[in-house]
Amino acid sequence: MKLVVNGKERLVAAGPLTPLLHVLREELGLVGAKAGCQHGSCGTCTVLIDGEPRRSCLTPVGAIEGASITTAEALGDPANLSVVQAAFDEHYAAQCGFCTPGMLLAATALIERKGGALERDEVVEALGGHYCRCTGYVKIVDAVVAASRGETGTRAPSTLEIRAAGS
Amino acid sequence: MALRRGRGIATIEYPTGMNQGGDPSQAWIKVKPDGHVDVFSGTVDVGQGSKTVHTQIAADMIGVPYDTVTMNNFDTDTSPVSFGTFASRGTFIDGNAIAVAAYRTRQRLLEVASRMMEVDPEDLEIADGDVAVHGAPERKVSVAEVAATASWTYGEMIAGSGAWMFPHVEPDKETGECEPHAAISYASCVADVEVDDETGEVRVTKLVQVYDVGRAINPTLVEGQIQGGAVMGLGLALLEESYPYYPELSHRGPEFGAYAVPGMADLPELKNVALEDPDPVGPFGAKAVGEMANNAQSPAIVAAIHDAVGVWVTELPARPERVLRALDESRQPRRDGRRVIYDEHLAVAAVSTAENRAEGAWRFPLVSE
Amino acid sequence: MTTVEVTVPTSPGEAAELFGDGVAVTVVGGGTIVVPLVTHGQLHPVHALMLHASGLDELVDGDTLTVGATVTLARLAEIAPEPLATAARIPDLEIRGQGTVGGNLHTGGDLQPALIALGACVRSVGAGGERIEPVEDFLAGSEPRLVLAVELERPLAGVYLEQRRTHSRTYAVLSVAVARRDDGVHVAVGGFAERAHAVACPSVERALAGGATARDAAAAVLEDVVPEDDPLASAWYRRRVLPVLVARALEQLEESR
Repeated sequence: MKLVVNGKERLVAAGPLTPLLHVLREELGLVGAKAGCQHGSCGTCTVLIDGEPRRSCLTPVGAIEGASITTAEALGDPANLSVVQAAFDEHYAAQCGFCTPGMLLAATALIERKGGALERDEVVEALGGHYCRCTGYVKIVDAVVAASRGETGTRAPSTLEIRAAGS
Repeated sequence: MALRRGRGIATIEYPTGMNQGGDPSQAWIKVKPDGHVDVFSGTVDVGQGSKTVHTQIAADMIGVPYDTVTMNNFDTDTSPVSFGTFASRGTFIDGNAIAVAAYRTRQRLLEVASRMMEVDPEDLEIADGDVAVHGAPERKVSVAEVAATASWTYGEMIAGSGAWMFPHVEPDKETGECEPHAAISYASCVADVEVDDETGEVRVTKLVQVYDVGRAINPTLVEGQIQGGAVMGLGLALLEESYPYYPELSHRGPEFGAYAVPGMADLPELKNVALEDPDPVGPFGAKAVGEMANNAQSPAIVAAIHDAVGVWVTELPARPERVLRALDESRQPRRDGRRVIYDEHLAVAAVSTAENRAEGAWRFPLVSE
Repeated sequence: MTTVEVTVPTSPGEAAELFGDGVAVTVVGGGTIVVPLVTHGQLHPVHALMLHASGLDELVDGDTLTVGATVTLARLAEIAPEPLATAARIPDLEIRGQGTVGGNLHTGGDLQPALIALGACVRSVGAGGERIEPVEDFLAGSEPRLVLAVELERPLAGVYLEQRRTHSRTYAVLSVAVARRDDGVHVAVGGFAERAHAVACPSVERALAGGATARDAAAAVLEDVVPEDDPLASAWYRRRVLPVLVARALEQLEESR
């Protein structure tokens, strides 16, 4: 069967019940989507299927013949980050990075869909099924909001309040 | 139904590293002939940002721009010894080893520059990648020129190595006094909660957290630890059941989705403050902030639950069921004899009143008669 | 490794024909239930019937709302009345776009209490051919059936409450759906036991019809279900909180009058 992966037509040999995640990682060598819980509960395997964020671990590849798939690999590279990637970098929105590919793609789709400045609760509603154990989410939400406003290009200042002892 | 609000506070202390001679680290630095600095260290950056902080320490200590410093920790064989990334020790112990190595690297740069410029090393300083004469900043050579001259003229490579560990200390036999740790960090957390007194559900609405980190070398990274720790602490306080313990797995349920961890929607309002009381031993005054960042939330949240509904939850996590059972228990008529669990009078009095202690009602359990 | 025979019907009629009596057939709708089971070695399909091209995704919004089996929760949430709309929004955005109504009639689905409270009917095929039956009868059945559509009428008002866990796929700790219909108030609950399907609460409904207050009527819910222990909550907790949730749902329904 055929898939269009990151703009390129690819032939896939895997059986129709194989999760898209395994096709991407094992057959096509694209390891951006991470194999987390593989129950659909964590969000790190999320990719865009015809522009919509979907859990690739839940998607049988046979059900999406001919679809256009976007993975984290297509977003940008270190010299030319996408707006969302740049915002994540500037806001220190990734620590270990395991959840990041899914977060990036879900955020990219959300910004595309809404087409304007996002409120924090809209980000939580759309990305709430993505789990992160490092960051405490604050900087991720900060980054997505900044990306939706096009506020990228400079490193975000720390919001930590620093006081001298005794003050 | 009533949604009851409460506020609780908790204060903690946390040691930096294992100490007691137990966790040494080494570091090694070399300067390329083009002036770029390579730092070799054994710590692993798992996202907390130790590479960034160590780069800052090396760059500041030597006097070169941050962008000219590269951290190398990719190979266990070629890396200097580091006891590892654990015990909140990366910034402090590896950082100190790097600071020592960087100091020695700086000394070698000054010595070579001194020969080149025929100026006493004492009269030279290094800043922004240049070695200049005190009071005469126009008389300068770049670190790159110094490193190249060292190699191609004097036949040496500018390098420096260092190591750090806190020595083993025995307690004083008479007093028991001991200084086992190089540095202790402190933190306080205030939690605001809403408790549903019919279902036992607890929602944390706000956490105010103050951390004495000595010196926040990188405020953004410190904040990342504090924010991440806050949400981990929230999970430990309210959601994450770990009993019965491994290898028994029944608490985990049939799949990842049955193990409840905090999600974005659980995020309370966070206010984070770093209190700077520079440590005399840590690099640039820094102390630990890693693991301690998820310690203060649970007691603060449990105290806030008590403030809201008047019962102590004595087992974590304070899942709805435990809160509801505690509420039920508190509504039971008092029985004779000691009742420790959920008895707020005993629980508070036992630890808090001098009177209680003086009368011998409470004894430290490890003191034998 | 066993060989899986996969069929991809392109019409509802072909889907029904390929399903046959359903013995040894694994139906794949959105994939959210079947694919993880296959991945983790808990299911080894012999005949897999993939429904993505079956045309069972028709949604007819008239006096009666007809929801095809492969309509996604996201599409359902847009047009469904309460309590069904809230139930359809329980999973996160991405799962909503993938999970189907038919799959949700599998064990433990969030839609079940809402569909029961609404008096929905399920049209299905299997041994004995096509039939239509109340959703609770369908859920109680044990032989394999292929869901074709769910049919329901819009109620006067409805409320859905769930004690939830934040994860996207886990079944609810407890869920309650209430709906006021022409013939009175209907109540159904789910999540009271691991992966149990939802049930109607006739005792609560009778108490309400007899003039009981919301609180008193809600207490009767424990005559209709037997809560169980599982990793999310104990039977004790469920017995304590289920009447509370039912009472709150009924009170909110009252307020919506």
